[in-house]
Amino acid sequence: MNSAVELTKEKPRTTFKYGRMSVVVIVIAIISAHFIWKSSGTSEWKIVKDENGMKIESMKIPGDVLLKYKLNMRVKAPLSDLVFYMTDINTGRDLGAIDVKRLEHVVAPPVVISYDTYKIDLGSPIGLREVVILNQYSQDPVTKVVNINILAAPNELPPNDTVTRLVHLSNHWTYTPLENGEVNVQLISDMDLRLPYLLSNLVFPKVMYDTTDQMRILLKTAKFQNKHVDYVTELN
Amino acid sequence: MKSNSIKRSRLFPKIILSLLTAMFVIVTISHFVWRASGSNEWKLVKDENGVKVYSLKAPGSTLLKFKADMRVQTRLSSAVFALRGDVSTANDFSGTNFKVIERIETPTLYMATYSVDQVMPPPLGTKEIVMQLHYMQDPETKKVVIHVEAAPGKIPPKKIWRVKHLNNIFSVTPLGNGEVDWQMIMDVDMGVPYFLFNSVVPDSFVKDFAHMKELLETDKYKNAQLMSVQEI
Repeated sequence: MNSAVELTKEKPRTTFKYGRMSVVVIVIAIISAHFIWKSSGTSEWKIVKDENGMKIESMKIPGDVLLKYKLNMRVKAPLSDLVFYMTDINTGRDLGAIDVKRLEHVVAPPVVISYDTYKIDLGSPIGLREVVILNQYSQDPVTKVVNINILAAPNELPPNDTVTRLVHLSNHWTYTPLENGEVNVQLISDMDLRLPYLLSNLVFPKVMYDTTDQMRILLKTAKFQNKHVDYVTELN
Repeated sequence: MKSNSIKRSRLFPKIILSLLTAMFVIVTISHFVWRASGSNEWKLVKDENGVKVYSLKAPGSTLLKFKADMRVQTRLSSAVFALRGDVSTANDFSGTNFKVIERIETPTLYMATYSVDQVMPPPLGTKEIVMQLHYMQDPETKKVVIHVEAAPGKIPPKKIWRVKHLNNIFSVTPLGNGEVDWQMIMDVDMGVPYFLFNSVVPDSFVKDFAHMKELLETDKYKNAQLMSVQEI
């Protein structure tokens, strides 16, 4: 009888002990996995998506937890239309951004510089992200290649504690006009949406594909055709 | 006796494990409390040798932002030349392997992309900064505001950790009496533990500004003439 009572008392203690051990083992495993992932990587581009004329590659750099991405595709459109799409403040609204504002716009040939801000809704439970960016482009007068640099500029606006503002964003578009009227479009994207990196690394290729595919579709609409932008001339 | 010594030998690891667990819990809670704290207001943290250093804690961020103000007896061009980065001035500052990736200068605009390696005290290693910088002088006030943003995706990676988050704003305002008002807002993540970074920056600002004042007395800076900057 006494040993039966002792066994009954022993069972919850043993369960608690093994439960506590399991938690410790899981925590150690998660922390170890994080550091193994962080230190891994070859710093080389690897194809993760090749669909519908769009090639997306990712790169894992040792020391970083987020992947970098590169996109390449060809588009049949004038350079001006492409630059307009990427730099016009209203494009953001067409893509679902809210509170879109241009803070500053300066044309200082051969460079055009804007500071823009907008918010994007990443859905529940993540919520809004506020973006404050430098949007700058220039064209090589000989090759006609246009470079567009989009960089996080979080201090161009006073702090906002009602929404998470991005601080790491470095996107670089290169538009290379070809003789056949097409443009080779390349994007190198290095950004942190302030999401858990597991989630970000998982979804980013699809997000990149969908957003760029939408660009191809919108470029065929009247709103984005026959546009003029400062200091961009076509190849021919 | 034997069972007492066995009990004691089992007790010691349990105590250690409990202490470690308690420390882990305290450190984790402290981290999240610090992260959520902040008023988004500038607070004076140092006022020394004519340099005022302010810090700002934003809720959601672990790193402090810093702002430093001082007045310097110098020409506007000299001050901008010291701040804007150049191969000829690279050795006057702490970075190494300074490279100009691209640069455009006209009478109305200066824009450049640089990379530089910042050697940190061991065991923090070396950090690479790739940044884009530009300014356009206000034609009326002659004030120059230099905007600096991290551009980590601009060039292929090296085998050195690269800074991803940097947004500094340097303002140089001529005062008309041979002095300039010099303000630096610094918002950067150098990839070092935040409690370390937050504690050393105010002193670093005072030292760096003192160093800048000395440099501005040298001929290289005193005599600087810049296409993109007009004196008052």
